[in-house]
Amino acid sequence: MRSKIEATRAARRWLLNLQPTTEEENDYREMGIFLTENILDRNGSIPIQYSPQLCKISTPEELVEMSRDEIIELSRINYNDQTAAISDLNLILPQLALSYARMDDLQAVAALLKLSAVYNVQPQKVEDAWNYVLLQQNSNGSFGLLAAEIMLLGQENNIAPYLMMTTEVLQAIASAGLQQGLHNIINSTLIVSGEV
Amino acid sequence: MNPGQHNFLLCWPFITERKTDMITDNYSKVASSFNWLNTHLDRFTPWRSNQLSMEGLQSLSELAIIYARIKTDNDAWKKTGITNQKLEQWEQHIITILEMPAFYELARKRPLHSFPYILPYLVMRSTGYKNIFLEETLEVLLSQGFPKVQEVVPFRELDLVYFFNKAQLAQNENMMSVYHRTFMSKMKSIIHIDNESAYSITHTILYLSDFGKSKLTLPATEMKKIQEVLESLAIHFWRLKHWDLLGELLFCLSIIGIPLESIFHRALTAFYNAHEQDGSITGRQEQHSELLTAQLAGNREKIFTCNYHTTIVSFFLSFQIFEQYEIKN
Repeated sequence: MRSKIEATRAARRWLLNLQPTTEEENDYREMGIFLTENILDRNGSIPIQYSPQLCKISTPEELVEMSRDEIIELSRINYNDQTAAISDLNLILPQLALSYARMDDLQAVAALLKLSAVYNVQPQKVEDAWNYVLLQQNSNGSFGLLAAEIMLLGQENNIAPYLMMTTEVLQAIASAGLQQGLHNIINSTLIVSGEV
Repeated sequence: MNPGQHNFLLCWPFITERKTDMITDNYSKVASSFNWLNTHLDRFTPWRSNQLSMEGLQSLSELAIIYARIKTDNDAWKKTGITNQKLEQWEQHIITILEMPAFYELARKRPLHSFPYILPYLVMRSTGYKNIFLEETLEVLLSQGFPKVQEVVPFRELDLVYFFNKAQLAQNENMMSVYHRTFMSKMKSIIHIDNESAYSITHTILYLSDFGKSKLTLPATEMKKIQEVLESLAIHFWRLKHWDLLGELLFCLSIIGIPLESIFHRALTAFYNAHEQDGSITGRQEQHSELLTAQLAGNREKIFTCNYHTTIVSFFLSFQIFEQYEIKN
């Protein structure tokens, strides 16, 4: 059993103990710490700079047919309320997140979970995707089961991929927090079982 | 009635008026995929350049399955433009191959691997056709325990039981006992499903429903699980532009019943949009450049290989939707 809050606390401990060696790593670390602070201490009310933009997609079909990079790009933009009125997103977006989970693409799943909060998809619809994400946390608190790939590259000390994955997941948790309210997050303990 | 069961009994596809246009269009979908298959009838043979081909053999079996599905139906299919004359051509084509010694000797020569060789005959036998040599072969094979003696995964076992039942060579062997050993019955995670497992799921449903002729008689909770899995996988394979699996999943959804809130119609539109103008459809998006090269070179064999299976799936899907509409009206 693991909750988003427990996962955030573990990620925060990892980030605080981290010794970044590059500017990129430092940027990710600071962003990660900032996100955990906002999730844990400020009821998820992250001071996001909202730029009133029109929705970039008008039908759920567009989301299905986007490339993963386009989805990740889409998740980085903050929209105004006009984004919430796309029909059938409750049916499609959660299953799209599972589709990327099947391909073991944590970054894309996290991006879609962030979008699910932005587009106000019913939280219970994305529980399976959250269970997948929370299972991708390492015992040290970082996200991304990347050890084999990093070993293959001969870069055992490279923490940048973990930092990137961790901040992506924290952004999704923060977005879910904004959608549901931190109170709901704390009280909703997700059962990590992956059962249908 | 169990809680939730009504969803699946009341919501068979296309019962609402707003879908009527799609239904009308569906008549032409049935006809165009049938016509493409008909145009390529000569390609449905077990031989490729005089060499026995398992893919060719499979295509012959699948042609026979379509033939049997139409033949053993009521006459509503005539509304789609399929004619008796064309069906007779199909029958003649299949029987001509079954009666070639180079074909009918195969099962007797290779009992251990006999199932693919006798499958087209089992299908045709279910329509009333019989061949003396193949009957004797079946008698010998069955007395020696073939082909059932061969160990196969449960959904392939369902394959065997289904076709032997259809050919009236088994005493309606219980398919449900096999079903409970399949991936579909035992799966617990909606995430961990790969292409092989997805095909196992679709084939399991197709056999249990007699390729859409019967309703599935499973508990409501089981039906709900199947429907959720099919919808989830439909989005997955739509995203991947794996039209073959998307088509099979939509076919299965049209069989089990579509809930009021469903992605079915959106995914169906995407599936039909991927069709060629001639009514055929390639299996996967990545095969498209291969198909274009074949089209430019006029390579009918390659075009057939790229498109035949998914076009068969498309026919079954459109035919199922057409039939549902006919039943309702």
